[in-house]
Amino acid sequence: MSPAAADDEVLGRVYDARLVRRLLEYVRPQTRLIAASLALMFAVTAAGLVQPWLIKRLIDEHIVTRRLAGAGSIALLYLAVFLVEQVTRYLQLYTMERTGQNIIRTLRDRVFAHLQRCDLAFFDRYPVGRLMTRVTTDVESLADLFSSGVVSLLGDSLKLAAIVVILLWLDARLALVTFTIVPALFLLSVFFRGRIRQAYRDVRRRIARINAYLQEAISGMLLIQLFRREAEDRRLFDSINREHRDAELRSVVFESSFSAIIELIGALATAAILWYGGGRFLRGALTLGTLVAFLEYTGRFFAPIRDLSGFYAVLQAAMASLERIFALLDDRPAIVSPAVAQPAAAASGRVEFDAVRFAYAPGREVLRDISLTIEPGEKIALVGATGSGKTTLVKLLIRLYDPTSGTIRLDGRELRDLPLPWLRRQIGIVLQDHFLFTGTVADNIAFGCGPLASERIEAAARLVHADEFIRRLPGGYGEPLLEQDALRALLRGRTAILIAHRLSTIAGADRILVMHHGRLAEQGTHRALLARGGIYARLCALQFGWEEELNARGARAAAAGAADAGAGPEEPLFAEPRVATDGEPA
Amino acid sequence: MSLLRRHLRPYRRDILLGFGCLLITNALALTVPWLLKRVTDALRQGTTMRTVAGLAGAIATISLLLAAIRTASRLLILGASRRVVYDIRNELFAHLQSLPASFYATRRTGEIMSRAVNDLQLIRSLCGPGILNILNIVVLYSIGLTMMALIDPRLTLLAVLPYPLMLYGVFRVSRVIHERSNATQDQLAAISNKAQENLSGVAVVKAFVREDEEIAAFGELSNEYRRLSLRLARSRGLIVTLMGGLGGLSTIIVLWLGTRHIIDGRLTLGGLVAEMSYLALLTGPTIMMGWVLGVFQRGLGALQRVEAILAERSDLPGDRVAGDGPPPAGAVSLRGLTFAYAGADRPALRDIRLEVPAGSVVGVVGRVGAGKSTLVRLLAGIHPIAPGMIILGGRDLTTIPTAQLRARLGYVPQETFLFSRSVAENIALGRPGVERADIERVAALAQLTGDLPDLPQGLDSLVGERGVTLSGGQRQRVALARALLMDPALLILDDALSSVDAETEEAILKGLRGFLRDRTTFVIAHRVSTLLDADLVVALNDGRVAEAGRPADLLAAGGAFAAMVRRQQIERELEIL
Ligand SMILES: Nc1ncnc2c1ncn2[C@@H]1O[C@H](COP(=O)(O)OP(=O)(O)OP(=O)(O)O)[C@@H](O)[C@H]1O
Ligand SMILES: Nc1ncnc2c1ncn2[C@@H]1O[C@H](COP(=O)(O)OP(=O)(O)OP(=O)(O)O)[C@@H](O)[C@H]1O
Ligand SMILES: [Mg+2]
Ligand SMILES: [Mg+2]
Repeated sequence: MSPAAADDEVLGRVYDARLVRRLLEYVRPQTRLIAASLALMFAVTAAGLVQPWLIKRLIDEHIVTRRLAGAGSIALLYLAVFLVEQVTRYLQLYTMERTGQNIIRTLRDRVFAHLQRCDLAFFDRYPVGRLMTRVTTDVESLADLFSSGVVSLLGDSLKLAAIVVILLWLDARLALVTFTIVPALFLLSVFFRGRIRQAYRDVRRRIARINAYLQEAISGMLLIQLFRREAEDRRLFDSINREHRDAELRSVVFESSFSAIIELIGALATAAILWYGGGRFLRGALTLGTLVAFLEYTGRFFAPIRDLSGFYAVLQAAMASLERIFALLDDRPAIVSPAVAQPAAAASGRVEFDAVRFAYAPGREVLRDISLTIEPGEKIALVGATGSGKTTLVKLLIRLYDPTSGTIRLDGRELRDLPLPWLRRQIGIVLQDHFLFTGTVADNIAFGCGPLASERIEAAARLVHADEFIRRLPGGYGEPLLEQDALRALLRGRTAILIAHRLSTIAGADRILVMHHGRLAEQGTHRALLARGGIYARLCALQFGWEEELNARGARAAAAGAADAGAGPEEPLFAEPRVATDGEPA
Repeated sequence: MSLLRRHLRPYRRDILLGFGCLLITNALALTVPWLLKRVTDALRQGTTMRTVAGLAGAIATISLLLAAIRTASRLLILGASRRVVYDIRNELFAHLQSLPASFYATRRTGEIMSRAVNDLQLIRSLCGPGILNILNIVVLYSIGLTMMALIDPRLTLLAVLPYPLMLYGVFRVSRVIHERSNATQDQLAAISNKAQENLSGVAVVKAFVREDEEIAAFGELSNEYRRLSLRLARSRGLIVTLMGGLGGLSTIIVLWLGTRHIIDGRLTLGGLVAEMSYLALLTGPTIMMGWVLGVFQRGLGALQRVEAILAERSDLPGDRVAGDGPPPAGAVSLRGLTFAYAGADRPALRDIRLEVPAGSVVGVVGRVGAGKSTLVRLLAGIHPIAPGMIILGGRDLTTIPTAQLRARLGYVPQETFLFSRSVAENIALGRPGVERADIERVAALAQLTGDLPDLPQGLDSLVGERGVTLSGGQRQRVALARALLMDPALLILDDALSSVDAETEEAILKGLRGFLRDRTTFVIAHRVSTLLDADLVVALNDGRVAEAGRPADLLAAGGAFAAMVRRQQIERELEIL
């Protein structure tokens, strides 16, 4: 399994140089915004740190000495600094948010674009729900990293460093006493980090499960209801929901105690400052203003530490998301478009399969040794029992998968050597499954044909009698619906392969290929195959065997003159008891 | 709101206890500035070291208590919020199960998902951190301001001057935030939908080389989301700045007036220190107020959306009648059945009249959009109809509880839907816990037995999302087996063998002959071979019965059915020529 696989379960390391380096690639285009944000952050920090110092001066120079002159200018300075702090903070937060949104938008678009290139085998492996998580949740958690993270981290660190310096400058001994609290803070953080990490991991994993379950339950709700499975389904959902709740409750324990303990340490520091600083004041080694400033600064010292510990959770979630996103982006599609020039002309449409073998899973061959040639413009019908490999064959032809061995060529060139979009535009395919896109009918018909004039679309639809039907829809051609037959009309003039279970559909095919257990069992024209008396002849006999029977029945019914079609609309059409149901006419 | 009240009730003891703890926590937190005042004043008057140590010790002790009680309060309240969300999510899921097709027809999966996941997350924040902080704010403000007033009433009065302005600002900006946050959420949902649709239809996208268009469309949505997020960030930033700025203004007022009062001798230095630290205690919650308001707004918005879904009611008459009893017998009588989809300007079915004795096989034919699927969907009680139009086993369909109606209904929809579980679990959808032998029996009837050796774990193979790892015909036959396992009195096959080859189809029909003997079956099919054995064939055209009768009779009558048969015949002859 590749790294993008079971990794909703894995939370990465908190700091991973490799991941960060790759992220920088996305950050670089935002250098100017980031520079602005950094500059603003310096202003915010400085403005915040000047304030306690101004208070110290106010106390020591004016309050203690009871001298009002000059106090006014300090107060005004305080006001100015404060306003600067507010305005710069607003700008700083906004530039940061902007940086983050720019980056994650790029990342989101890139993830989506990458998914468009992943091959079908990839989509077989990963449920859509999980890939959705990459495009939405994972990208969002990076947004948190930028808007509430990175620069605040820098700002906080800067603030911490500045406070350490200021405290040492104000009173080195008291500062050292204050710092004794730091090891305790550190050890406790380390202890809690491990626990919180584990708890968040569980929560994430379980919300992902709720997501996946809901996704399917809602899409399949009608079936759940028709088959009266509601109670059973509720039971299953409850157990998933309960597991999520229990994980949340575990995380609550750590969340609640962690912040309280950090606060406690802050308060203990205050007590220590009062006790030791008070002593020094009494001995005259310290002014009151310094003591008060110390308390103010210590208050501002713990806030960043608290934020940093909050940041930790954000960082961790972001790193885990980043790891998953990059793992996805690293998942090299096995099927890529080669770097070759696009052929100038459209393909003439000669298709060759040369000893092609294919298995979805190793050891379970679905196609066994297929060799065949389709001439340009030839219309091929592919028939055979269900599960015999018809759809698979076609998927190989448009390179949704590559053969396990053997080669496929178009106009003599191996498919792997042709530009992928070009290749797919050359071959018209009507897929078996209806995929309803919420586009419009016109969108769906225009699929693969580039911009088409609407008259041409309508003409194509008319060709296949879908026209009247489409017009009756409330929105006419604007109605969201896909009509497979309409697509079929676009196959005109192309090399075409139709997979047909209704033998009537294959009318007009130049050649019929009969698949059987992954092998090409028979091929030829309808007549040749009938004459051969093999699988195809048997299929035909089954499908058209009704004809003889029909003639017999028709004759009998006509003789009885029992046509009811003329019954008036007001009366029930079929009041008389029906015939026996043993399958044979009485 | 009533939803929240109802769900908070079971946890009211926890919550009240949590509130109690929160009160004590805040009361304790508010004593600390008071102690600071006493220390400062003592120091200023030249006290002894013992007094200082005693007061410092008191601060340390109180802080210890504070930490313990604060932890308890958060555990209680946050814990309750998690439990509440768990309960609401279960209720929401159960409710979703009760909503009819019309509900799902007008909403996308992504939208409903975001109710059950994102919105519940918002509600969690509302009743966890949201309530916690609102309470903090109320308590801190009321006690804090009282304490401040005790120290210096005039100073306090002037300090709270900016507060009315603050509240007004909050009120104005928060409404804008509310609207912008909704728009942003909607855009996020649009992105999810786009991705969801694209990823589910990836094979079509590739086959028709639509990657670039898809990328461009996604890019547009994504950029719009960026724009809306930034717009939201601007108003959020504004509220934070407003709160912080006005709160700071108070600090400056205290500082300036405090200084003058001290110099005038009306206030001690300790008093000023205390006033400052009270204000500091209030600043946090004040700034927080912006965030809390956001949480409240988003939470209330989420609550409204969830409540709106919970207020939805099934429009099916069968969901409004209760009662136990046997499922209806197999006779079907349609008496002027007319039906129009909501919002459609013309009925999909008009005045359908038909008597089907129990045990019949009814073939339904008609062109694309003729109303075939609609007809059988109505029989399965998927859409609401008026009374008197469908009679099942002598009972009006609208009087039969839905669960009863479906107890012995086997339904193979036109679009196969498989769950990403094992083949066996998919077959046992309507009969969880059924015997393995029964699953094997219906798998055999659906001619799946021959395919099982090709699958990695036979019946226990996982089928991938929507069954992608099975072939089209294999998927259809799993859906068929699932319907057969219901031991249906009424079996509905809506184009159920369209992806199955003639040989397999023949084998299935042959195998089913005995099985169908005493069951009423509606078969929508295109192949004449499927229809010739029917007891009754109904040809629909544009929502009306064009003709109905025994296949042989219809052939003789030379109407629509005969034309269809002839068309297939001619096609065949053309081929042979
Ligand atoms: N959920 C719906 N909402 C609105 N209109 C609908 C809905 N489903 C079907 N219709 C419309 O009702 C009419 C009958 O549709 P219905 O699906 O019954 O046709 P059908 O005979 O089963 O066609 P097909 O052969 O393609 O399956 C059509 O015009 C269709 O567009
Ligand atoms: N994505 C997949 N992963 C694994 N196995 C697959 C996958 N798709 C198909 N298979 C298996 O490959 C075999 C051939 O499938 P394929 O879809 O080619 O059959 P088919 O001939 O188109 O049948 P049908 O007529 O039923 O559509 C089947 O046994 C099927 O279970
Ligand atoms: Mg197929
Ligand atoms: Mg239909």
